[in-house]
Amino acid sequence: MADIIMPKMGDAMTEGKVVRWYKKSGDAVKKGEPLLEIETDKVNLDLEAEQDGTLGNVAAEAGQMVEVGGVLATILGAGEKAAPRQEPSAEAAPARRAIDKKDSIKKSTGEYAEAIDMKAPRIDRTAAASSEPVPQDAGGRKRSSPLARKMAREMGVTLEQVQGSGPGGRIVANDVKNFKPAAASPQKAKTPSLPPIQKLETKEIPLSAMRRTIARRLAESTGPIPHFYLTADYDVTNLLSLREQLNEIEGIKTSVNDFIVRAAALALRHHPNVNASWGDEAIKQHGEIHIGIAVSTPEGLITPVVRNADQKSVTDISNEVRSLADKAKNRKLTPNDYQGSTFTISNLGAWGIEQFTAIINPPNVAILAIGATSAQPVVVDRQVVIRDRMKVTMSCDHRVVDGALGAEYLRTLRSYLEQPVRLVL
Amino acid sequence: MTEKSYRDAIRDAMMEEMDRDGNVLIMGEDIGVYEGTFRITAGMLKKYGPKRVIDTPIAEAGMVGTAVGMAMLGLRPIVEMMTMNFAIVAADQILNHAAKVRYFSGGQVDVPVVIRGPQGAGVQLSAQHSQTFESFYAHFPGLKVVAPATPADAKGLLKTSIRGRDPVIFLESAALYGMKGEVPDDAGFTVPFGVSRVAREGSDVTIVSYSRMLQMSLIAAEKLSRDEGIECEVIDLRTLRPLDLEPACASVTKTHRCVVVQEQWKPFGAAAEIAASITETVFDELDAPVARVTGEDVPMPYARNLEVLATPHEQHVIAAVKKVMYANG
Repeated sequence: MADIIMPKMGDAMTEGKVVRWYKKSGDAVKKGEPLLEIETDKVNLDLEAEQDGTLGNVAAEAGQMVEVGGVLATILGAGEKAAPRQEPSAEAAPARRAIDKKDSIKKSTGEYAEAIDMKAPRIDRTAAASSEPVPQDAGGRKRSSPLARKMAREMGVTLEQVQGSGPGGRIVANDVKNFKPAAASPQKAKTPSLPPIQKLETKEIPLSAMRRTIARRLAESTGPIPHFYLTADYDVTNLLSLREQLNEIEGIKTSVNDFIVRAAALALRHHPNVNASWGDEAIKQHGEIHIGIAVSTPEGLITPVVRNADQKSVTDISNEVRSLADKAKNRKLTPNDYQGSTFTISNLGAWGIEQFTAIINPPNVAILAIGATSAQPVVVDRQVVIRDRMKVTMSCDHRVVDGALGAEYLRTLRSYLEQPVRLVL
Repeated sequence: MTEKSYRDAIRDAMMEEMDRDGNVLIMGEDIGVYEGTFRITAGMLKKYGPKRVIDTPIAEAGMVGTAVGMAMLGLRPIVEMMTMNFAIVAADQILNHAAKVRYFSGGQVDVPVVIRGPQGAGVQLSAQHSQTFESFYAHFPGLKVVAPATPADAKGLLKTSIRGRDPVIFLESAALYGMKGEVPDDAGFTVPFGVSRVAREGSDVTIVSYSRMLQMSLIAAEKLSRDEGIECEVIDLRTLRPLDLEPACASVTKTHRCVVVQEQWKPFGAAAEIAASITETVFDELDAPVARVTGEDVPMPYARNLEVLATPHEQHVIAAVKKVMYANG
């Protein structure tokens, strides 16, 4: 004879509910055959017979809650008889009642304590008239308590990011208190909110010196320079993993772009004709590799320069770029910081731009336009696998860089980006 | 301090004020020879005589009308209602006369009358005699509404009622008459209107109540502290008009959660007014909607077990506290 007991399906489980019996008392059962369905606070599942036999006394009917370890039924082997069903004895019931009474505080309810104990299903007097679940607002506004909103304001937390634990998903104070901004993981990234809507007005914005320079230089570029464009699609899975490993080291925080800067600089060493300038009488090849990096500021675009980028480590480049970008945003760049580039990189990946073409920054003869990295299904060894891909478009000055040269440069760049171990050589 | 019952504290307050002021008198049904249905007026006829302890006919409108007239002319009558349910018969005298005379007289005539008596359920008096009236009277400007929860407050607030210039509805809880507590002996002891008190300090949830439900809330708070580690701050309002919610709001600012407990029916009850006022005042502090614990929305049954089911008990307060703490799973 074997008892079928309510299993413990998790640490927090103290009881489970019998949903339905597939077999009834007296039915023959086979090992592995489902006997009944139970419901825990998390899942519904079938309990199977652990041996062949006959289903004996069913101790818990459908709908009944049973403590973990409590007997649900027994399986009788051949020749065994079901034990007589145990009815709750006359003594047992009052004993239970006596415990209840002892436990209840009778001070205010006095002689009525007993009546309260006898009370059948308790009515929740605090419940709203309708017990239907409160739906989330269709507009995406999250329900939140006033205190949670106040705390979120004070802590600078956006409620959109917080998971509510209250009824109907209501965000309560504890949710805000315990909120930790999600780690930068593309899967977890929440939908970014739209930039604020600006007031529509007709006005003239005076040209700043910077805007004049941008206009002049870019017009000079597209006018006289015959541009052509080459796009390559790189597998940067390994690069991202290298970056992740590097960033695990205390004190190091690099961006993908820092690796691209180093890779682009190293690739230029293989193709000095791309690291050049057009002159009316001669093409000037540069003896040093200075990478300009397009940085957007509220006033406009500027390209601070990482000098001798081919001789600098990724972390050095990273620190330098960060400091230059800060200076650019605070308008602290000196001419020495932004003049003299020999090659330029523009990266709009952070804006989610997949691919774009950039205008050459004269007197450079090429510029790289870096798109966003995204996970893509690709075929590797005839298998579809998910890899991180990034599109890079090179704009070339055809007066200096021919199609083949540009393509060769991009192929070299592929080696550095797809086998990033080369970057540490 | 002497330990006194709620019943004796009320009698002491009346007798001290009758000793102090010859204009104070009491009238009501069966209060003299019979010494009161709930024995509040025991010994008073003997001590003060039939001119100051007046047995009336069963005619509540007449009693209150007479008292209003007495009060307008300078006396300080106390009218004992056998239960406050009977005062409904005198509603016109109370609401349209006692509460309005000062206004109609341009402030020239006060009506210092105290209408007092027991109310509420718990003693099997059935549907007509178990009702509670605080929201009914507190709705009307011109009245004061008092609902003490302890013997000391019963004495102190009744003395303030008798000495004041206003008509006062003094609501006693029939179920509290036997309750004992420390009462100051000082004949000058009074408790002012409109000053709530913190009956129990706590940090997790604010419970706001008055009268018998205050005592029940305190028991629930002790049980929550003992069994769940939840510390409730319990606020005793003492008077519903004037209503002092400052300590309650200060408490909610600390606990961010609030449960209001009343014996009355839920719709349009005192708890609705209290919850709305708290929400208006400290909206930004609330982490959950203010919860109400109330009686069931039915005429009070006579059967003892049904009466128990129809009135709020500790476990309802405990459930509400857990609900506003989002602790019900």
